[in-house]
Amino acid sequence: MIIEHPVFMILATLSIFRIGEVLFDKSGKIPIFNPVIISIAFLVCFLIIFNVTYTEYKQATNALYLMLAPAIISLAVPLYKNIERVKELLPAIALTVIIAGSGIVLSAVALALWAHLPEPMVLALMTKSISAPIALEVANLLDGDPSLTIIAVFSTGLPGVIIVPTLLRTLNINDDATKGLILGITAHAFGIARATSISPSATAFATIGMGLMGCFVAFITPLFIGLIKHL
Amino acid sequence: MQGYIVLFSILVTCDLVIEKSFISIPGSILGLVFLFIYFLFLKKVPQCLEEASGTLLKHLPLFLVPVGVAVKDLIQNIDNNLLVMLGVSITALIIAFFMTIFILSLSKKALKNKEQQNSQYAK
Repeated sequence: MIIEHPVFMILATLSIFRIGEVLFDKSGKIPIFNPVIISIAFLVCFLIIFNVTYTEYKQATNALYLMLAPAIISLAVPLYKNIERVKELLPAIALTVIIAGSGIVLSAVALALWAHLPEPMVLALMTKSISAPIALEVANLLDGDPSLTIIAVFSTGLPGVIIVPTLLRTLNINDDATKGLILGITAHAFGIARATSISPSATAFATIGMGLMGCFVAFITPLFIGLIKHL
Repeated sequence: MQGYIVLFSILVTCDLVIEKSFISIPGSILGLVFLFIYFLFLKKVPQCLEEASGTLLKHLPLFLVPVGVAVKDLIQNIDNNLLVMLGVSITALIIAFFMTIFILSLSKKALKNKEQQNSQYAK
C-alpha cells in the first residue's frame, strides 16, 4: 500500500502543513487556522482512518522530529539580534516570569485540587506551561507520569496558539515584544512557533519567555510540592 | 552547509555534556545558551549561522507537527478525569494569560516611572 512507503508520512505531513499555511494566510491569520493545529487535526484523522499507530507515524517522520533540536538552538540568533530591546525590558520580563510564573503554577494546582483530580494529574499540571523536554525532566525528578506530563504540556501549547493570539487581538495588543513574551510564557515551543510568523522581535521575546519560564518552573515546582505536602 | 555543521556539532556536544553530568536540562536548551554566549563574545552573528538558522526557524512550526500528533493516543484513550484535566489546563491557560498581561504592564510602568525619577534626579 502507498502509505507503507518509507517517505509517505513525510510527504503527507509536508503537504498538509503547506495546505495549513495557505489556509492560515488566506484567512488573515485567524488563530483557529494555525497550520500546526490544522496539520495535527488532519493527520490524527488520517492515522485513525488508516489504522496507523502514533509509534509508526513517529518512526516514519523521525527526520522532521530530529530537526526540532537544531531549530531550538537557532533561536539564539533572533535572541542576540534583539539583545538591546531584551536588555531594556529584562527587569520587567524577569519580574513577570517570577510573579506570573508562580501564579500560573499555583492557579493550575488550585484548579486541579478543586476539581478533585488524582495526584499524578495535579503533578503533571504543574509543568504544563513549560516546554516538553524540560517538563519531562521535572516530571522525572518528581516521579511524575511522563504521558500525563506530555498531555498537560500539549493541552496548554496547542490551545495556546489559538486562545492567546485571539485574546491579544481582542485586547488590541500590537507590541511584538509583548505578543512574543506572552506566547513564550504561556504556550512554550508552540508559542515560539506562532511568534515566528509575527516577527523576529516577537520570536526573540518568545524565546526568552519560554527559556526563563522553563528554568523558573523547574526550580520552583519541587519547592511547591514540598510546601503542598507539608500543608 | 557550514551553519548546519556548527548547529549539529553544538547539539551533539551539549547532549554528551548532559549525559556525562548532573545537569537535567535538554541539550537543545543548553545549546541555545552556548550559542548565545558565543555571539556575545563574537559581537556578531556569522553569515553561515544566520542563513542556517533562518531556514530552520522558518520551518520550526512544521517540526512540531510530529510531536503534536501524539494527541491521537489521548483522543483514543480519553476518560472523565482526562476531560476534567483538559478543562483545568485550558482554564489555567486563560488565567495565565491575564495574569501575565497584568504583571507585565505593571512592571513596565514601574520601570518607566523609575527611569523618569532617575532622569529628574540627573537634572
